[in-house]
Amino acid sequence: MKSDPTSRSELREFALLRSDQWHAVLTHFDYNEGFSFGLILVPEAALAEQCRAALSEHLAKSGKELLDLSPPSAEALRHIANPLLSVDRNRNFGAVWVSAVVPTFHPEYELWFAAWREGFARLNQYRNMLQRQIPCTLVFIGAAWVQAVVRTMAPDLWSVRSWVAPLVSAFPLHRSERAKLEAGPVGSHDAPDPEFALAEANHLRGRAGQEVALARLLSRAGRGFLNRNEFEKASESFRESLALLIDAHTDELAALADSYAGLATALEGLERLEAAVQPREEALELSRRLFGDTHERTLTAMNKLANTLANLGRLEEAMVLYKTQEALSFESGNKLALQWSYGNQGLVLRDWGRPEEALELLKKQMSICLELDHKEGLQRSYANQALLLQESGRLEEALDLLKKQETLSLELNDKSGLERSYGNQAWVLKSWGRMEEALNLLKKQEALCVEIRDRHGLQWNYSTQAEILRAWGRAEEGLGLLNKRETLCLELGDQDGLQWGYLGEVLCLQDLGRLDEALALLKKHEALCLDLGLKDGLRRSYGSQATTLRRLGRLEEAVSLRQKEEALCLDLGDRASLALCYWNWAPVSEEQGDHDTARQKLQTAMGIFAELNMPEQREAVQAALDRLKTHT
Amino acid sequence: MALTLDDRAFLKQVYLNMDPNKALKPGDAFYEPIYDIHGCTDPVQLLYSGIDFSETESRQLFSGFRGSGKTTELLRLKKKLEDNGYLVLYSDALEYINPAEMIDISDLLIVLAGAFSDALEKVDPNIRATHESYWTRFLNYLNTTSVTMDEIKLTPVKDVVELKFALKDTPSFRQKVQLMMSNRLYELEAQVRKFFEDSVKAIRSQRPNQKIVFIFDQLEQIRGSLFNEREVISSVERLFRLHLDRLNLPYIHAVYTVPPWLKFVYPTVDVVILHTVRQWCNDPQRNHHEPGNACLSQVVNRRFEAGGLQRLLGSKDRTTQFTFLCGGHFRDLLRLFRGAIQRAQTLPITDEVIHASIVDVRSTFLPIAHDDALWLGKIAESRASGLPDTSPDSVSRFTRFLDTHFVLYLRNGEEWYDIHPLIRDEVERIVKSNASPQLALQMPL
Repeated sequence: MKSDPTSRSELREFALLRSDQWHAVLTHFDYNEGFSFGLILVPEAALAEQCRAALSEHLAKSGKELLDLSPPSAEALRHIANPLLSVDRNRNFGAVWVSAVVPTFHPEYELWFAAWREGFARLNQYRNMLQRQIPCTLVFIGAAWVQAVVRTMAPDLWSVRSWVAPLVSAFPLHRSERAKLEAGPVGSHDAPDPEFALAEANHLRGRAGQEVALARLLSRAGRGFLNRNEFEKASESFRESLALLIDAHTDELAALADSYAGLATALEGLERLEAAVQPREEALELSRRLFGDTHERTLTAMNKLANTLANLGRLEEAMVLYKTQEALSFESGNKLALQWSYGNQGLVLRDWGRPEEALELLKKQMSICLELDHKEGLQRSYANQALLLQESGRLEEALDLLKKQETLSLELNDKSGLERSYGNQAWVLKSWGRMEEALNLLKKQEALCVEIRDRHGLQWNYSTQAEILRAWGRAEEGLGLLNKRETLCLELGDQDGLQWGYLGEVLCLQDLGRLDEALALLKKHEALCLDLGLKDGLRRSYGSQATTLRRLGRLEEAVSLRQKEEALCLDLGDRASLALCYWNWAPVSEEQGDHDTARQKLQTAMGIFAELNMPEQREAVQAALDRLKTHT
Repeated sequence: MALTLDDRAFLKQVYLNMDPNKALKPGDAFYEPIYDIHGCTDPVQLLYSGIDFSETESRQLFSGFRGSGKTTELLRLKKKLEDNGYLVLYSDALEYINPAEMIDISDLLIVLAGAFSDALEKVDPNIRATHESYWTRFLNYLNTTSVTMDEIKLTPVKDVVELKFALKDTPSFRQKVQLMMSNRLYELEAQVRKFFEDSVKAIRSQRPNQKIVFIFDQLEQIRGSLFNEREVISSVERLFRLHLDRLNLPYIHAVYTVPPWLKFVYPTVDVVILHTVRQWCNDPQRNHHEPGNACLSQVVNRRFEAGGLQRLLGSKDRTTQFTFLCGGHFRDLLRLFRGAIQRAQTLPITDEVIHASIVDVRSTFLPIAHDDALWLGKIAESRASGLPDTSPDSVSRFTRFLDTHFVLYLRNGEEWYDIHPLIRDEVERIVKSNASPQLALQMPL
């Protein structure tokens, strides 16, 4: 398990595997003895894989193994009872793992849905045998819809469940971020000039007795860099400042607290959240010692530490701090700090899947902000309420609040808030099919992201714009944006984002008939999938390459790639893709004049489609066969 | 403060103590006599009286929905009977019958005799009705008939094993036996009865006057699968409707666990059904029924050593945060505790941990289908089953509610139903939204 995530997707997994829910799952494995049955719900297969790796690692610490019986195909899932009833009782297994995560938008969702139903219907009768046969925890991992399937199709097994862990709500569906309570707004004109501060600091270097003064200047430079989102430089400045202050055994605790807080903010900007916890704790402790519990600086430090913990998925610890902050703010009559607490508690409740209670608290925050005329807080409250409403499908109410957020962000010159408002408004409009309005807003968001150097926002923006442009037949423009996105992914080291981006670009190139380029890109995609060990991606790559090569008339090469695709489908046990492979193979053979092979491929495809109960595909293959007969 | 090693050891022990899937053996320190509450009928006492008052033989039907504690109570019955001098033979039906396949009276009679024969040998190998087990006797019977049995060509040693296997797991073999026996049912029944009689004689010869009870557990598990649920349920219903008397065994008190839905399709049949611990009264406000809640608190207390509950919760009063929401079901109560233990990062646990566990257990009930919510809403209001008819579909749906604890089966004098406290709000929300004109207009779509 990685401890220092850098990309957004890694960060999401990172947060997931540090969430309370996942921690509870691991605790079960620490405490449990003998058979038990658990169900984990995740939104996508990649996260299931992360969970498997993390659990495997966890079990290894106590000398236990994870037995992975995940079905390679829907057909295998139908008969999952067989391998489960053959588990070797004498091995030191800590978990038996069965994963098949297929989201509802997946092209093969219906096939897998039927397989889950049938697999569990068959398994139900063996509940007692499973309890005797499996000496450890049996874990099933599926998408959220699997829970209702198990409950209905395997009521006996369901009745002995130990736990269900929905890991779905641990990350947002679309872009929005936890309210951040930084010292000054992004792009503040009052922020120090970092270069100037550094130049001044350079005069003091190496001069005895000037360490504390030098540290102060470095800290100032750090704040200047933070204001420009230049986090690496900021981090360097704060580190140097801290080293000087600590070496000097200074009693300048306020300076020390500032540097710790600054370093933490810089590390968060670099998405090194775990590393930010310790400086946040130090800053809070120093504030307490210096100013007491109810001082605004202490309350701010407490709030920031809580935010860091919450962003790491350590929600329970964060909530304890938010509640403490609430009590202290209330006691001292500090309404400003009170509204931070309400707002951030609301976000934790959202993560805990309690949207109604979250909305209640955000409304409380809004009332206080209106009373205080505190526009920054109000803007955040609107944004976070809108997010909750978006997630609950209440899009009209959400859009209304996003517009209010836009107005306030403009008034405050908060470009970060403004770009988020534009992005989320565009998302709502796109989901309503109002593409033109959505695109206009995305253009505005793009400009802002460039200005404030928000590369994650920009990446999201480019792919959303490209989707709209391609749907309008403007593939050339879409491609341009995806090229830019590719560069960003490379900069951010987001390889998973990169391989999906390549496929998007290939689609645009194919639309444009630029087949040679599409092929070259698919080669890159292939290499990346090989690097990342993504067999399914590789299968997709070979198939797309073969299709492109056929269009280029390079039939021998197309056949060779179909053979590779076939081998991977067989390896993965992916029968539906295998049938598709044969179906696509037939026209290549036909064009080679080899009608016998073409017929044979179509017949095999038809057989598989019949076996998988896919009548539409079967009929289409039949039509191709009929056409082939007429031609010959 | 973070958990110490000692805290974690404590939590682990409590976690193990709270295992919701462990049936309790008689005398287990965790067992709480929940049916001792004033005004509550003890189902074990009912069964015991039914046996004790019947002198030589009787037939008792016992049932309960999933997770209601059937096995625990059955083991308690066994202990009570043994303490009072009965010879109790226990058998698990699932060792002989495939619960996913249709059942016929002929299979059942064969299996009953065979299972009794095996159980007797286990209890006292010196007692044997004849020189051969029932299985050997039955195999000989088959071989002396004119039926050809291509399926079983057995060696003398393995034949009984293969006969049992074929009866359980080879549908074609079982179907042939059923077909053959359909014309010889009386012959088979007589043969089985004779076997029981011989067995009882053999027992009496060594244990004069000892009364015999045969518990045939897990018969209620026969319910088919996705592909044949209706057919299997119909076969079970037919079995009890047409052949109930054939389940009376000579000189033996037979106790069968049967599917709880039998009472809906065959209301005249006398079944002792385990009910849920009653936590509230059958009044509109659902006023607390204190003895029930106290009893559930005791269920919890028994799983802690002295001071343990205090250490986990800080105050014993916080137990009610779980007990009030468990619906009287032990497994749900234990799951609520386990969920909190899994999340504990400090001791005593925080309110957030308690809440998170409640949210988790509640989420296992969700989502609730719209039509189900409407039915559940009616149950919550009327406190009656609301079964529209006794068709297999309706019965199966209602049984699913009870098995998944969406609906609770309660008794205080008369029987009544209510919905689980964890789903009340969600059901109410769906029912209300259904009543709104906007949704009503959308329905034709």
